[in-house]
Amino acid sequence: MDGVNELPDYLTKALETLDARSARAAARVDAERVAGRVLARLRSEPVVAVAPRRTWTALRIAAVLAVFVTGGLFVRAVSDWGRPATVAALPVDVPESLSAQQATAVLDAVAASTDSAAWTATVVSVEDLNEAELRALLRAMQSDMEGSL
Amino acid sequence: MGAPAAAVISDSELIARYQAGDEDAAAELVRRHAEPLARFLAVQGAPDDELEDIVQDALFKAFRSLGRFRGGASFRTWLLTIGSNLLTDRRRQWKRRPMLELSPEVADPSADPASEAEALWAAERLAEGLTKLARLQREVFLLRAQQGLAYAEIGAALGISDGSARVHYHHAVKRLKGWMA
Repeated sequence: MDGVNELPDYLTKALETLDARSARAAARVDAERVAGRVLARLRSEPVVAVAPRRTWTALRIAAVLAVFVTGGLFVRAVSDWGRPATVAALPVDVPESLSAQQATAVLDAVAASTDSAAWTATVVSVEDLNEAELRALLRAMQSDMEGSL
Repeated sequence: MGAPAAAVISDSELIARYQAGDEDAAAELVRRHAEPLARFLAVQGAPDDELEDIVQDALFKAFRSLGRFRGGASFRTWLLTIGSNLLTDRRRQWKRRPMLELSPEVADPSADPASEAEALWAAERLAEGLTKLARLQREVFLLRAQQGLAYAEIGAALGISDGSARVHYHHAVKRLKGWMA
């Protein structure tokens, strides 16, 4: 116990007492019996194939990537939490009750507006319709009113 | 002129012979190191009735891992760290079990009963303190204080720098002093 001279006396003595006790316990270990058992196990238990270092490195990299991707998805999900889902809105306000003709006119107006413009996620009111679309819509509503009278 | 002393075969040579298929070389390594390993484990609180079993497991594991033994530390030091790791694993299984029961036979019979009791108390206290150290602190402390190894050898066995080994040792001593006070 060469290292003990760096210790205070009381610690040295305690360690010596403990070591003496340990030496007695160790003396009861039968080295021949241990050797026999170890050799028997070495013969009987097959060597477990350990993946080569490159495989472990690749697995570690894959694990790190998986953690990053999962973490990124999680952060994205959390940041989107509570935000209203973006719904593609019709480019015109559709009244609650439309006749078949009105609905057709509205759809035509929608079709006309989407033919040239790209779909956006914004709400478009009647005020946003161009002149041709408004005329079509008014004609449809007028004919519908005349029909109902 | 007397007969020349029988040349002692080094551990490295025995390892090479075992790896070439010589089982006697492995048996010789076990004979050399089983008892010191048992002593190292007993100081850390390995129960007497489990000691031989842990020694056997540690030696088996060491032979199976010889491919990873780089020789930075001696075979014995490397083996001691394997045994210590195994003991740590088993300690988790024995959480509620008393780790050490010192018997009065330890003390010097010529000593007076009062100092004998004091020595036993101090040893028990130290044994308990050792179990409370972090694994690296405990291993570095015992490799240094019990085995008398240099910091460089300890560092090589544990995969840390010798400066780090020195720091762990001093932290361990500081904590043990506080525990024993």
